[in-house]
Amino acid sequence: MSEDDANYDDFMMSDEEDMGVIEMEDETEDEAVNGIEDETEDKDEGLLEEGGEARYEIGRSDKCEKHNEQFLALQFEIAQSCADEQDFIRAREVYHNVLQYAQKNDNLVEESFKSITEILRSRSMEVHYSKISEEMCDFILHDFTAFVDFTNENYERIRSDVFQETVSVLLADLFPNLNREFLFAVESIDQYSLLLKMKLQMKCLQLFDDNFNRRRISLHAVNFGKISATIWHDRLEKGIIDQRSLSELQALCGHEDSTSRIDTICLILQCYICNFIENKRCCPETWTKYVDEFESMTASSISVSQRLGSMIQLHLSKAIIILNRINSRERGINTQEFHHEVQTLKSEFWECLQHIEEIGGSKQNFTTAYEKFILTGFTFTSMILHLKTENKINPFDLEQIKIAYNVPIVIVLRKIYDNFTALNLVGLYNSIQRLERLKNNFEGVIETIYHLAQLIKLWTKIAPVYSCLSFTDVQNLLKLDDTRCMTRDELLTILMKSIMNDNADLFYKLNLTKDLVYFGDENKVQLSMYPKESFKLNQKDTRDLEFANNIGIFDNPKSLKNLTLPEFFDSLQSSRDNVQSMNRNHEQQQENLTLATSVSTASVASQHSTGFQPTHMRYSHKYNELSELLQVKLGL
Amino acid sequence: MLKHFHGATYIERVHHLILNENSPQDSKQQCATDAVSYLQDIGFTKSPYWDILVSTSGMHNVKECEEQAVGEALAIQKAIAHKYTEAISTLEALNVSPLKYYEYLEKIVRLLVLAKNYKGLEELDYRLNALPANYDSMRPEEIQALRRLKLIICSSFYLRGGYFSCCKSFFKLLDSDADVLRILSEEQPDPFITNGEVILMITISTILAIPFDNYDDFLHLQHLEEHKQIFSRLIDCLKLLINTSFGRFLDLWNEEFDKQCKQSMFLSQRWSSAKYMMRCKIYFFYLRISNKVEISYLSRTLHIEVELIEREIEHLIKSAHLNFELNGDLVTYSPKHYLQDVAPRLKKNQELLEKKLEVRRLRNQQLKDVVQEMIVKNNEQRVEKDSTTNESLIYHASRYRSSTDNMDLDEINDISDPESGTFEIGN
Repeated sequence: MSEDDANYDDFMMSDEEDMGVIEMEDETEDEAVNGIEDETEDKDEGLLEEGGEARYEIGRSDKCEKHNEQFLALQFEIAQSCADEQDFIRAREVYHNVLQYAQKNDNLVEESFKSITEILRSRSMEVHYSKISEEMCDFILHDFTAFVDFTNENYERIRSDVFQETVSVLLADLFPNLNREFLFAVESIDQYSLLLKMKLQMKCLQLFDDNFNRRRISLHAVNFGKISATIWHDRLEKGIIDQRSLSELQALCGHEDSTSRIDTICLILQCYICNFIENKRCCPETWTKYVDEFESMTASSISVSQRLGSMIQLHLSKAIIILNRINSRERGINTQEFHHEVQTLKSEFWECLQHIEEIGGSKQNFTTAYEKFILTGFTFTSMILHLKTENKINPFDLEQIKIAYNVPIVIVLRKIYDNFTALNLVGLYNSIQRLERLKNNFEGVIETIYHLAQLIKLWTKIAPVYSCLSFTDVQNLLKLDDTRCMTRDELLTILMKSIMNDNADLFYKLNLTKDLVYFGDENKVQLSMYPKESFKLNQKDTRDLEFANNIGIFDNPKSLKNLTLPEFFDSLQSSRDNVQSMNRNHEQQQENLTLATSVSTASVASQHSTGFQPTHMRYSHKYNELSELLQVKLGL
Repeated sequence: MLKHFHGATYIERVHHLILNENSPQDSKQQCATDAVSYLQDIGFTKSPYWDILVSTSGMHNVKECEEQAVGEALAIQKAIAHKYTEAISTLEALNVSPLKYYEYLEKIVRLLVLAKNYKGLEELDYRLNALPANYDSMRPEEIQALRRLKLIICSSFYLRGGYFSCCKSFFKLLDSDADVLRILSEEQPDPFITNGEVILMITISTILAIPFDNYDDFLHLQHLEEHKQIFSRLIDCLKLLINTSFGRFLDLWNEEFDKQCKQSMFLSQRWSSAKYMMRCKIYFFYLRISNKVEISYLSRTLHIEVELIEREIEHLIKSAHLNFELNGDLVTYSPKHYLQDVAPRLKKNQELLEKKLEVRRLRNQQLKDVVQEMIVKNNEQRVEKDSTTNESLIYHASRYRSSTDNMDLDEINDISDPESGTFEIGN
């Protein structure tokens, strides 16, 4: 207790000294202000002196308590009007006097509490109207310490409902939620003052928590404020958000009412978005839970959906989730599912593009990291879909992007896009390298783009033109860069997979002894001399047909995409049982419409040699049998 | 080891373990000893494996016994003795509560599988499909039994080499009743085909039966995505195959799969044919895309010995009548005309026919000569006889008639010549 007292005295002393200095400044300032203010000034000072005298009087005699109350109420009113006129120094002076007076009278705890709270509130208002400085931070910390010490000491004597109410209002004033700032868009914020604020917030709330935690007063606002201050602090200082603070935040999300829940969820989303864009930190599965919740919130409540930045946060989050999935999956670029996923991703990025302006970014110059991220994502997805969509709109013709025609990032992306559509692989690789850090976010997507470009080039620019090429020539034609040459195995894999995936537009044959590849329809040859009937008719041993089917001698390569499980097996079964080669033209046309990885040349039958069987061949094994029979008869 | 199995399953598994050359000697002995005492405990040692069990266990003077049993215990005894038909009829003679119908049926199915009576299994499967069970009114034990029953039927397709039917019926079952998978992750009290074995059978069957071109489609089917952990190995394998990493796939196939399949008394029944089939599938894929390929190249990429590849490719080309030729190390595409094999044979037939025709022509010529000669002779005789009596003229006339009669007879004989090929072919 004695130590506290000493501290308090110190504080009072120093405060008075400070005030003296400021008062001088004030007076010089005041002289410059107009007459009306001067009047109130005088009045204030008069009252103040009066108060000073009164203080002693009341101190001595208990009779005039009523007078006291009136006096204090007047003092508060005066201070309030000073504060209203943004004369915070004067206001604080009054409050300090009241505080001193009230502390002399032990029964005036409520007044002391009120004045000490008001001091802090005037600070917060001052911060609100002027730029924060380190000096000011020190003052606030000082005052806040005083507040905490006082309330801690007199806790039992303050009504708990008053306490709760006052504290939450005070904290909300001092440390408001950052609804206009976004973790992933810090470029446009005054980072220095925000950092100061956050440091202060961390210190103050920690102090508060340390003192009141043992009294089991744990306010949501305190916890949330503490964590969000830490997160912002980390974001501004280190550029990355700690997993630890994130899990604390998520733990907090468990129990709270709906309004503050939105704040928490927004912050969680921002954390993940920021970590992904800035540091390519992948997001865990749990994240989707929050995104889903947020989505349903925005869908059900206009106030949430109208909240600043909520739409861009939502769409950005959804885009990142899909992007993550695409980045991590193995390349199955022919599946309908993949196509669909890229399509959704593209529309999410498109939504983001449209909402960029909302959060104050983009004066159409795409300079911040998140804007670049969105634009790149939109361009890349347009590229992947380029050949599959009917109306090929160049994304750079869109109004939103066209306006920033000469912005560096747009120039780079346009170059990438042009190289891709022209199938200039080396150019594509080099221009993508210029994306630098952004590349990391799109690793899987970029690989898909390379792969797609190679595939399209192989089947549209190489295969139709050459009839025979050596592997090394093809490798050279498909290389991305001297450092990224396609290996022989990779080329073989591409060729083989094209057959398997049914996207080889032309027939080809390999000469694996000389490493040559032949393209062209003349390579559509029959592999088995005997028709499928010969296996089927072999009644003695049905296993032969089973064997031929399993090995795939008579397989008609056909795509069985987007079927349900029973359909898949039924169609396999029918192609196993079916003896005649099917006419695939109809089926194929449908396929081309839906997936068409490659351009219109796909109409060249992609059905491979195995299924090919001219009608007169159907009985070739019969001719043999007949002639054999005849020979036996004749030989007798 | 193997102690969690019971009855005939147990004895069969012990026997398989003893026969498996890869199992360590001490575990063989241990298992044999356990099995011997198990048989003694149930009071029935008339197993066909009794001698081998006793000799492996290293025990001496083991007491044989054959206690009279009734009901289910008798069925177990019969099954141990490999008298499956009797075991089944013993079971069938039992009075079964309708509440335990499927549990009872499961026992019969096990015996059918052990007896390799696939015909019976087929009939049973047909009956089960014809009368769909109503799960709502069944006891949970019964539902589980029915599911196990269906899984055993799926597995039985593998056992008789119907890989496609195996995976098809399994995945269709999965589609209609997703809870089947729960059985595959639960411990069974009295296991027959273990969960691991069922999953392995399905994995092998799927890899074998689905065409290369459709692996990717299969991987993206809804159900597979949902049950990744159960099919993790299948997915891994398919991914390797899709990426045409045949070598790495075959390494996995020949090591991990091989070890597990050889250990299992069920999987081992088909494993060597499955392995052969998979190799052929991969060879054929290479043949499909190439004009020329060296055996040594395949051997390098697929990690298979040259001799084996050579032998198997040769057999594959021959048995499937592929348009490929094997010349030393080189497999070349060599298109044959579809009449190529027929042509030489037709030529030979032509020669044969010509030979026959020649023979025929000669005979005809001879016949003509004979006839000509006769006519000439007749004329001469008539001129001679004209100058003689009228009676003799009548005589001659009758003689002439009889000689034409004879000729007719000869011609008929000629036509019905049993050697005549044309006649028969005309038929």
